[in-house]
Amino acid sequence: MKKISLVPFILILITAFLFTACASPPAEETSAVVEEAPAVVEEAEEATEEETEEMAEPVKLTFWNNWDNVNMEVMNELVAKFNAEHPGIEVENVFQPYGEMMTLLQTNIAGGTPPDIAAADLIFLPQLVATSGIEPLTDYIADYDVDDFYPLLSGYDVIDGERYAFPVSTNNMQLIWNKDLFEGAGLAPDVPPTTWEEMKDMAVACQDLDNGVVGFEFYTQPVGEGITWQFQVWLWANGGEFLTADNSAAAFNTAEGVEALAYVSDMLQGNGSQAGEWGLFGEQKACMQLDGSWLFGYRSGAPFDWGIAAVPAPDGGTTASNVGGEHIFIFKDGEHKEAAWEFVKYITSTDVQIEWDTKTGFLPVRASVGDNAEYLTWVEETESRMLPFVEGMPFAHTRPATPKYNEVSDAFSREIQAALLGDLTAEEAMANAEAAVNAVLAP
Amino acid sequence: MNKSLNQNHILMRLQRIVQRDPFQAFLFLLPAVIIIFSFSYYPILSIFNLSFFKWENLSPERTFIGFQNYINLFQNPRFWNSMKVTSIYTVSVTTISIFIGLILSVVVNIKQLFLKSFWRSLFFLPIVTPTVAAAMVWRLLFNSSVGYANKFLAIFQIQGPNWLADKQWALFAIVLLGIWKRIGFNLILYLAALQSIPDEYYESAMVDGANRYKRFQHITFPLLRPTTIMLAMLGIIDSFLVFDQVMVLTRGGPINTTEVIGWYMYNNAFSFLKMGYGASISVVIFIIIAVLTILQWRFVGFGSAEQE
Repeated sequence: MKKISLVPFILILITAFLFTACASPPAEETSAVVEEAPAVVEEAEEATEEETEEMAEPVKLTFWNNWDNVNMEVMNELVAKFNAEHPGIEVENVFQPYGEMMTLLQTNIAGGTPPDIAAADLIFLPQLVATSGIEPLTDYIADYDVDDFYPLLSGYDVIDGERYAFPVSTNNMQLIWNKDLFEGAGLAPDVPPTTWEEMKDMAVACQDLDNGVVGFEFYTQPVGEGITWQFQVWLWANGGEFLTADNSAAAFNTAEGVEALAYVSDMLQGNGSQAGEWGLFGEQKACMQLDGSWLFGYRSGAPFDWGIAAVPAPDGGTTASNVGGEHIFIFKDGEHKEAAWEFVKYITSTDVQIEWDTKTGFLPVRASVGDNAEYLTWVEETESRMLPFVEGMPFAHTRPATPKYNEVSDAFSREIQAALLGDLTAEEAMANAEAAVNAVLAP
Repeated sequence: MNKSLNQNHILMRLQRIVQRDPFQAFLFLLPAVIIIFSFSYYPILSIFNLSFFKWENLSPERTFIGFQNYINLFQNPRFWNSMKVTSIYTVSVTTISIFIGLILSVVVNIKQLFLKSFWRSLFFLPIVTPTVAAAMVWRLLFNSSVGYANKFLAIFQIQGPNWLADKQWALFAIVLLGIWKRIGFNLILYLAALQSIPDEYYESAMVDGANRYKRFQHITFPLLRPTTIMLAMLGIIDSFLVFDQVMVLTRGGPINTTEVIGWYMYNNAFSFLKMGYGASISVVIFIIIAVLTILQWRFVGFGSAEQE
């Protein structure tokens, strides 16, 4: 009689077992984020372990980054070299797709299972620091040559007086022009514009709107960081600023800002350009555009002749650029932070950086690389078209380091798009953008 | 033989246990209950809870702010704009896709139709196509310079707009994709309903001299009414949650003209990391969908088309 009642208990036991087996409860409910962290590949390094005559087992570190293809191969080499030089440490290079990096980092920080080291797009850093999951490096860097890094980049990593990261790769945007289209339009194929006026005249001369060819391709859609990050170059070139120095309010609605927006918007109304989906340049339907130093990856084999030049400067302004790239940081919850720091030091060191930059085409993050004769010779000999990117670094700007940057950029792009598409004047759009951005930044 | 007897025996014993002792019955349900609670009800309740907090960037601090998220939400014109955009999308997609689905189902149901199953699969294909993949293709179709939409219009000497960045046309493009996705579903359910109408009705109507149109008006259409109501309710619920095509085609732009409520929630919660605010938008969506679902139960019953 009593035997029967065992059945449900067995069922419960099975269920309970299944639950404990498959889920370690999260420390905190972490919102309904959908992606699950891919299981970090288990080390199958038993063999090497036995070979090492070290009595202690090596400290195992996981390093997340979004470098793929060639970049990934080079990073694998560099990591292998580090592991060989440091018998006590074993770093594993783990690729995470760019689009999922932020979600993965946040869910893993919140779940208490972050990697040991990660390198991510610099604009993610302020939001990551706000999670309190990133280890401040202030105590580690006493004997490290921080000043050798370009302040533009390394300054981005200091938040509220604490340093959280180091730049490990960088890039910027310059002007790329299609020499074949220039020639076809009767322009000198080897002479790029240097001023805004020249750029507009050349764009008008080169455009053929009936056949869908624009003189200059601007980024107009869809809304988002694409619009913002491209427009900032023109804003900075004209002497404008994006946010105030303390990132507390919009600073772009000035005469310089309005002038920059009016310049771009006017060209987009058929005076050298028109609005449309990004991608015309690759189809030989745009004579010029702004593009980043990563373009060598897909333009090297282009079926047309192209050149790189500095972003044209307006009257009384300078050339300017916007930088991207990855910064490297370690996590508070990591068990081996000293070892992780060893790796950060290694990967940002001058020698490794020279190897990294020459093999991948990333730009120097520190002066000892940028001024290095070996590096400059390499640029000269292998791809002299990279020179404008290297030389443009001193004129580059970084986007404001605030956790609200995504929201600011989204709001800004929506409002200025009205001017780019010709629905509002530059003055009106800038005023709307200022109101929208200030609403986002209001405490 | 022996095995099925054995199974029967077990089932009967289980039944006896359950009747004798409701507590044991509950224990049997427990595994399912645990799973449903931990993966459905608990997250839903957490969202309600979260909507009363200010929680940004997954930071360790969460501040209880009562109804402030809701007050901010209801005072934000972008929220009301997203409600408006979502409503326009929902009404257009639902009505037009039902109308086209009905017509197509009648056509596909014609007995003499050539290649009948080919047409059915053709119209059903969009349903099994992932929306994101379809949207990528539509993005190319609507590309202002190389897209086929404008190349087609050019045949008639019409200068097509820059579809996805045009205030008047961007939402139209999104609605078009929504309709295209939905027609097949409506078609299949209408087809099932059509085939359940006995031929005798039509035969006797024909004897009475009713023409094709009269037969449709007085037999087909009234008998399809339950299906139509169900498709309308399901269509509204489904369209209200539109997200994928907006993400791929326009990201809510130009300005805010295609910013549907689902995208507004996603952006706030997962791009701007305003978790509390995002949760309050989710709660509003939840309530609207819950009301619609209850309405659907009242109109069409708890289940589906079969319960008429």
